[in-house]
Amino acid sequence: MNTTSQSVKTAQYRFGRFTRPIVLAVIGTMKPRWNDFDPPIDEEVCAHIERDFSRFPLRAKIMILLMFHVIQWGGPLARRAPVPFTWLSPDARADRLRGLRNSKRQLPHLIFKALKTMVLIVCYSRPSVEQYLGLVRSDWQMSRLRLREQLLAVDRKRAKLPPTPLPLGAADTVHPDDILQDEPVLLPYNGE
Amino acid sequence: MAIPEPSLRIVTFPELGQTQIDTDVVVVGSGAGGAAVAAELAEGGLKVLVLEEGPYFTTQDFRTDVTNVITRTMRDAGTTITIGRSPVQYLEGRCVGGTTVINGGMCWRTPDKVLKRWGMEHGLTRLTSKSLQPLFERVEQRISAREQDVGTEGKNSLVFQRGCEKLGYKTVRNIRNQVHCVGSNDCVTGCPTGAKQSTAHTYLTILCRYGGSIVTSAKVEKIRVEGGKATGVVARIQNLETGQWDKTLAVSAKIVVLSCGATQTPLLLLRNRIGNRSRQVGRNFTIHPNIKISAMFDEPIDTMRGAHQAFQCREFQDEGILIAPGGVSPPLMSVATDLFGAEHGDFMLKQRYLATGGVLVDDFAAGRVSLGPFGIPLVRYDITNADQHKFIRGAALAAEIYLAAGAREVYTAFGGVGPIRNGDDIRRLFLYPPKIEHTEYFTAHLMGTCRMDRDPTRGVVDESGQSHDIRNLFVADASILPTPIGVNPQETIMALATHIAGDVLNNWKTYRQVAA
Ligand SMILES: Cc1cc2nc3c(=O)[nH]c(=O)nc-3n(C[C@H](O)[C@H](O)[C@H](O)COP(=O)(O)OP(=O)(O)OC[C@H]3O[C@@H](n4cnc5c(N)ncnc54)[C@H](O)[C@@H]3O)c2cc1C
Ligand code: SF4
Repeated sequence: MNTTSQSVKTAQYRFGRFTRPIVLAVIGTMKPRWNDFDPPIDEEVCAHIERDFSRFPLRAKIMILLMFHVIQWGGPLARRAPVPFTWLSPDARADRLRGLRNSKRQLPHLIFKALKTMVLIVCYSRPSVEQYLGLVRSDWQMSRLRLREQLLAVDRKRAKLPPTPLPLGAADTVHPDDILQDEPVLLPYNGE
Repeated sequence: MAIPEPSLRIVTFPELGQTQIDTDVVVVGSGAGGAAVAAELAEGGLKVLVLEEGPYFTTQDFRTDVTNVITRTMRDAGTTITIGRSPVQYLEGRCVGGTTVINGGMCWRTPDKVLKRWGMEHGLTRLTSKSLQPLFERVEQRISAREQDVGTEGKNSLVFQRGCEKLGYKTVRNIRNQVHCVGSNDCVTGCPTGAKQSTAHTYLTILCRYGGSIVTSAKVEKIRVEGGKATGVVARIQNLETGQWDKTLAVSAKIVVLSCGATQTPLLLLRNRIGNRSRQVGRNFTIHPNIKISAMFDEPIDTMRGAHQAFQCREFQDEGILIAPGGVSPPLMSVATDLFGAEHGDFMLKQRYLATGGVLVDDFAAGRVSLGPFGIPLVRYDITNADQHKFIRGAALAAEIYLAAGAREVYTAFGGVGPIRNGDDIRRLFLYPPKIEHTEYFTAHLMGTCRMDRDPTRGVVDESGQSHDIRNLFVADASILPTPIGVNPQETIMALATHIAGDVLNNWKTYRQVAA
């Protein structure tokens, strides 16, 4: 029986020299920052977006590349602002993104949403940002894993319990404390 | 002590070493429908082979960053979206276990009134609450559907329940397929603790125990039909080293079961130009759409800690509205607002105090899955005004629930609508109804594109799941559900797959004769 995981190797994509500065400018404008912490994660986030991008289907790749160039050249082409996105000051870049966000038309709004989704999920997965917010996901996952290991170990020890889960309604709902009476509970539940 | 991984017989192409296999039954897809039908048939004594387009992931693979999971386990790396009046983002699993690997784990039986409607409108008179009862019990036992351990619900679910209680709205404690779910709240990016009992942990281990196997990275492209009966399939195999789909595997089988899910099964039939005499393939596509709701509290909620969803509000089920909490990890929560930059940073500092949930509505109309120019898949769905009215009412009710629970502000998915702080703000939703174009929708429950109907002119498969047009070709997945069901669908899909497997086993002699 095989239980090892499989993963498909994909060639790592790198944004070209025209696109990369636009991506970095978008990241720099959208990434979260605080008075006492401006995370230096732009390159890191860009590398992760490139990793994700290499797994996207061709259709999505084309759309995303187009999207970045619409951001870059949309202003001059629409004769709203004569300057490409990367030439703008940080405040002006933020204004241009706000323009997309607040647009009454659906397409600019969708472009904003797609960019936001792509950039922010990666930003908030960066270890430095997680540390700053006090939300280190991997620590939480490991603590949950250890707790579950304990629960399963006790399940196994209890000779009365059948080895496989009981059918619905065959047993009362269990409280982990009932099971872990003699065992230390590693972390409390419900976030207290 | 490590968490045990499921015991599966997984074969990749190099190990397989064959380009031609003979079997009794070939099942295409290993999600809710495919795994259930495959396991039941294998247990019934048939030789079963499952072909799965995606790869296999272990529990450990889910202990990584969010987009690393999304882009590897989901179809089109999670970029799937409908076209139509306001696009709707949807997700489908593309790995061993299918969408059950990335779902929330809620398990509900098909409501009685839905089954009655199927009987009346679609002639499915064998599918009654009474006849399905043993099948539901069997499914629940196999996937360990049970209540959450008390204490693991998490604040995100508890505040929601508190609001409902204050208003006297009926809630139900969720039944979920889990064993000691410890509330890591990562269900939609794969369970990192092994608690969720996806089909990879349940049905597929049963399949392998009874001699069945799963070939991964095998995308079925051709269904072989000879003399009006299905005789097998041809799959393209992906080389995991190069990523190229450069090998072919032909499987001859007495019975072919399609379980590719509500978008892929109709596309496969349409590409093969078979099974569509009714012209219903790809039509009747319903999605049980939903919108997000979030609420800011003065007390910490910490949605990261607790089960994805421990309760549902069923008070408005008759109106086709389901309201429920739904927790996600912080990276996914970050997209709940349109802010960015420093403003977003402030928002996330407060995210410990944010509760998240959603409103799901029974669809009024239906969309369509079809093939566009050059065979491009088109998944079309238009949100109707009737749906939007339900969404507005649902959002208003959800706001009322959260405010009753003590929330300071409630945020909706309606663009341009500010935070809701009191009854006046709620009433404003009805005075100035938000437009469909300014609303952000999402869906997780796709169904209906190869609907089951006794009448061959109205449905794609009969009450046994067999194609009306092609003998020995079956469909067992979300696409056969004839109408929206108003609850999470995986248990219904598994129960129907079990029903189909039962019919196949009962009539095996006939099917074998047809195949001969
Ligand atoms: C985020 C999310 C949360 C959800 N939460 C819940 C919940 O809490 N409760 C609930 O009941 N439901 C939930 N659902 C829905 C539920 O998981 C699905 O409805 C169900 O899994 C669908 O089952 P299926 O068999 O139709 O398809 P799937 O489970 O999607 O399986 C289809 C499989 O077929 C494979 N496949 C497709 N085409 C081919 C091909 N050509 N060749 C080979 N293989 C192919 C796919 O890779 C996939 O593995 C959720 C869904 C999502 C996305
Ligand atoms: S809440 Fe966490 S532990 Fe529970 S099933 Fe979901 S991912 Fe697994």
